[in-house]
Amino acid sequence: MKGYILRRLLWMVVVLFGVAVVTFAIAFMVPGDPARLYAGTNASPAAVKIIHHQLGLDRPVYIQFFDYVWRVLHLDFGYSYRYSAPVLPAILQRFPATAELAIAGVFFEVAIGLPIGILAAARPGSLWDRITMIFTFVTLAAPPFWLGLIFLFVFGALIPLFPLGGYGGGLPQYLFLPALTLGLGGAAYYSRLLRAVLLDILPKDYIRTAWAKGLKERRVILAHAMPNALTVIITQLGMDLGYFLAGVVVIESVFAWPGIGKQAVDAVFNLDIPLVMGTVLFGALLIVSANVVVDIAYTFIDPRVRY
Amino acid sequence: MNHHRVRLMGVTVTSLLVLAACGTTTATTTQPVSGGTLNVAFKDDPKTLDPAVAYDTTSWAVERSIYNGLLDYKGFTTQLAPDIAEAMPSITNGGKTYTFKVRKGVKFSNGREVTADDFKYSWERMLDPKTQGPMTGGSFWGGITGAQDFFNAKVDHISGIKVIDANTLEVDLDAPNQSFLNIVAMPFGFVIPKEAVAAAGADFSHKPVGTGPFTLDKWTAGQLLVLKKNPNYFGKAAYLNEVDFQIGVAAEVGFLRLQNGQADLVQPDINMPSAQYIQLNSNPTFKGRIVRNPNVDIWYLGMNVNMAPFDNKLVREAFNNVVNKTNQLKVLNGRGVINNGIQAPPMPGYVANYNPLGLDKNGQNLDKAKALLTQAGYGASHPFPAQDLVYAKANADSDNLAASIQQDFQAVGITINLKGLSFPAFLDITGKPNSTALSYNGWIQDFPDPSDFIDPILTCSAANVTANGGDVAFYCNKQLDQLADQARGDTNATERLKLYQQIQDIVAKQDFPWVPMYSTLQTSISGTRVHDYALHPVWPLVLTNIWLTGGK
Amino acid sequence: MESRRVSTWLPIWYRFRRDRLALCGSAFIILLLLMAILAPLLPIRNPNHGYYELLPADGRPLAPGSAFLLGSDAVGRDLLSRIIWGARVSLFIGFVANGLALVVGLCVGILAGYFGKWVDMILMRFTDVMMAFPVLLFSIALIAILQRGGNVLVIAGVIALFYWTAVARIVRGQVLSLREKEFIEAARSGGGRPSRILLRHILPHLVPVLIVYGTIGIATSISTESILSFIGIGVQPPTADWGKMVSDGQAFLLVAPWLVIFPGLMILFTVLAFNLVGDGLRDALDPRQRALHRGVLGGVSAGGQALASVVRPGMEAESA
Repeated sequence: MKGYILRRLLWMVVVLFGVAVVTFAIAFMVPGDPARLYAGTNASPAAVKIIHHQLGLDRPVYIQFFDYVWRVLHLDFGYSYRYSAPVLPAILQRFPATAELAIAGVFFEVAIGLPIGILAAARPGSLWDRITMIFTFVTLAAPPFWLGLIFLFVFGALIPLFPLGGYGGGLPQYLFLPALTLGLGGAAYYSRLLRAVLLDILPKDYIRTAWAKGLKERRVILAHAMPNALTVIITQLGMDLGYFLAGVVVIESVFAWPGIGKQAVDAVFNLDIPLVMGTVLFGALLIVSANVVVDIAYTFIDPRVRY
Repeated sequence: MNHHRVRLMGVTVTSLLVLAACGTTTATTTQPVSGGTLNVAFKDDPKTLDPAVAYDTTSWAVERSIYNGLLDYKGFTTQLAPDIAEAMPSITNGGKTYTFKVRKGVKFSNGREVTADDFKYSWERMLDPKTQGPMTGGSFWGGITGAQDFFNAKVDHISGIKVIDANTLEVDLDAPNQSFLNIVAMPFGFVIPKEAVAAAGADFSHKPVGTGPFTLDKWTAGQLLVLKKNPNYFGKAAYLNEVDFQIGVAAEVGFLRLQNGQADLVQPDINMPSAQYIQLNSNPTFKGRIVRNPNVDIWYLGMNVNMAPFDNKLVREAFNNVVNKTNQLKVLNGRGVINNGIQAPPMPGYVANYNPLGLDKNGQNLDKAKALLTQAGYGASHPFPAQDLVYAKANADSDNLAASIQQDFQAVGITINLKGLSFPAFLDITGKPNSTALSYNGWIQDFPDPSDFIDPILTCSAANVTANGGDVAFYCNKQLDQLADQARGDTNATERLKLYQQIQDIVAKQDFPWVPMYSTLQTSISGTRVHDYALHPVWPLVLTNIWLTGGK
Repeated sequence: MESRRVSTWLPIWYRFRRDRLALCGSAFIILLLLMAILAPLLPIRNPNHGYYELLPADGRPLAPGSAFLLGSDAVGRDLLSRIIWGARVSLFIGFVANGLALVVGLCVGILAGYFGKWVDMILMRFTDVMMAFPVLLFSIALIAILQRGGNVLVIAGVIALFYWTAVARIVRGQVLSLREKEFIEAARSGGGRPSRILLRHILPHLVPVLIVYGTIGIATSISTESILSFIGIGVQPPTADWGKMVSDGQAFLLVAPWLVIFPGLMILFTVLAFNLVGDGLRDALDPRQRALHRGVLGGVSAGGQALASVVRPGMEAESA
């Protein structure tokens, strides 16, 4: 197992190097002279030239690349034109809001998705099963930005139960609608996943044994079938967290939630490419880390998996 | 095109002004009460609160409450008045030397008294290339004696800014400039204390110290910016105890919040989008709370005179006959007037119903356009090449305005492709020579003087600046430049306006670098507990008059 | 040969047509395709022409009624026409993006799975790298950097750029297990050229998974495209596009909710239809794997991301 963990960590290093190559190549494609953006709109050509040199844009590409990797290793993700400040602190400042939304979103996924999945699996083919499965199909198909707008319209404007977007210092009433919108798609996904996994497990021998012992249905499912189904769910949750944390771009934009996703979208329109690419890099880092953590955790959760 | 917008209410009485009089302030019957927190919804953070760097209305809206300069505008007018200066300066040496007396007892929020040295320091810092502010290298302040040497790092100080004694500041200009006092009143002229800049290091923007009615209490980027009343303010104290800027709130959400009482104002420097205007204007509770003011802006299509096919004057003239300006204004709910010239109401020099080409009521003459295109050599055998129209996307209205132009040109057989860009990208691409042929631009005054509608956007120097000159048509006419130079220093107001008429005729009747379209009416609204909110003709937001029902 | 094909496909059709939801989905898709293809011939208004003269003085959008069946937008354009024309953009990008992703994913997956060793190693690490990116954010960044927002092919290309990885992994997994099968072993030991083995023996077995992925992938691509347009970097105005219509309409939510509701419903129904058909096809093509695969393929969650994440890196080798 030690060997496996080492292998995964090595994999992480290789992938992150690849990520750095790709992001660097893209930053290189940016049209226009970054020095000019950096210098500000009214800077003189002489000032632009000095900054061009200061940024090292007149050196060979490979030197610029190693310089880039070196800087990233020292947690220097670049310099934001818009904020006239380093990129990483700008991302970290917004990150708690994104993390909060992501965790609340996962909460809704689980709180809505698991009960639906269990109940559907308990009576496959029943009316409940069919209704919930159609419901999950519809939820998965609804564009998240549209769902968010409809929620804002109905529960913010028509029936003013919740504030109309914004962070509000992270108060629960501000968090509720964006987290719900975010969680609904996932809830549908998890309920389908759980239903499928349970339907796969329930005919197995050890479950039949539990039935034969005369245990109640609730106990059979919750105590005997669920632990095994949960490993699949937890794995998937770990994966999703990476995506969530990497910026729930659409939801943050619709609800004016001040996370890294909204910041990055704003940056796109400000042509603040370093901030965008810094966020992309940050997101990639999170996703890769989440992958490795889940892989390693998996070896503990499910000892049957041998490596 | 400019990213700052300041308004003027003015000297020339126009139909717009009469309209504006209907709802400039919210009528109140009770006496103002102190106290309470005002909530203002903002879309973006201020770019910076460093007055040497900020050149956008969002930053200015906040800066105005933190800092002061030597001069300001009297109340809600465009008349200049002393602020930190004791009185208006004495002007000597044929209009080239200005002597300011600094008022005694004005204190920074750190407790220290303001002296003439502080102004010399603040202005030199603002003009220092190391500060990387937009005024570096010339622009409005470049006419101060010795400024050019300072820009080129030949000297450490600007010889034309002299501290005579602790309370006397003298400024020498190379040539007389009738708008210099307006320039002094711009936010770039705000005074800041040297020791606070040193203490803040590179981050004065987040640790600002000024003399204004409010001080910055807290600023969490993307979330909240809090101003607290400054107890040591030298002027009349504000009624409000605190102002909370809720950041990251799109206008659509902001106006909904305002109706639910979660916000009291929505970013006043951004005009109300059509949708919100329609909705609030038909809401009995809020209809009367909308305030209106001329925006002192001109919206036009810029045609790059160096690029085909617009290097042909016939083509440019043809384009001047195509745009349906009534449709443009309909997208904006009729909030504005058709403008076929270059000066905006109510700027001195604006001529109402100016129509040098004899266009119809929509600003069109399609037959003339077709004839001119034929004359220019375009027709069935040689069709007019498709053009990209570059425009800045502010909100849904931007796309709609551009789409309307597209439709107009279809009627004369010209294909227009729409290229909507973010504002910085728009500035970037329209400011570069030979990169944008056709663009949708707006120019909004920096200060209430007609020179501001010529010098930065229609002169040869504005076309020659390699980095983002304001002359998007890259139009350069030596005769016009000469007239502009003459007008800038002319002390005879009537003669001066005549020169500006001449310039307007050259542009709109002879050379056609633009298709002038319309000037807009600024609209804004306040929540139900807000009293005495008014639009300032120059400043994006003035907080000192505002008070809340019951002081809470 | 012909008879064998019939005997393979007919039972699939019999199974598929028992799935009423999938049939409904198919009907909707056929209708939508017809509408999109025939749009220029239908007796509807020009979708890009603003009937300013019909708008009231304050420019308020017209409600659904006699002048415009589904109402007008703020510049007097006919919402019904725009919805019909919008189908062209969505379907075009959906098909092209997905087609590109399938081709690239198929090639990478087959090469990696069949040749193994360093080919597999390099291709899969590259796939890992592409999967490590936050998909939507990176797409937005790429389109912004290319400054080619509005070019449908660029948008389709960027969507495909991130979607092929999922296809590649699935295909690789299938090829890995196929490679061990006797008939492949036989063909290889018989001295067959790799290209022949791949085309004649492996590719046909991949068809079911490609069909299923292809269908669901269209849903993902359409969904992603609508998000890009909503954010404002999709096709350029005045081209009618559902995501952009919702985005433009959101400002008018209180004044003219139809501007948001109708185009949003079109996205929902279209994505739903492709998902239902994909689901039905999967059940019909591979009834034995029903329970196992339903969960794995069932999800196209927010931003079309979950699909790309279902196969965890480093796992498939162990489970295969």
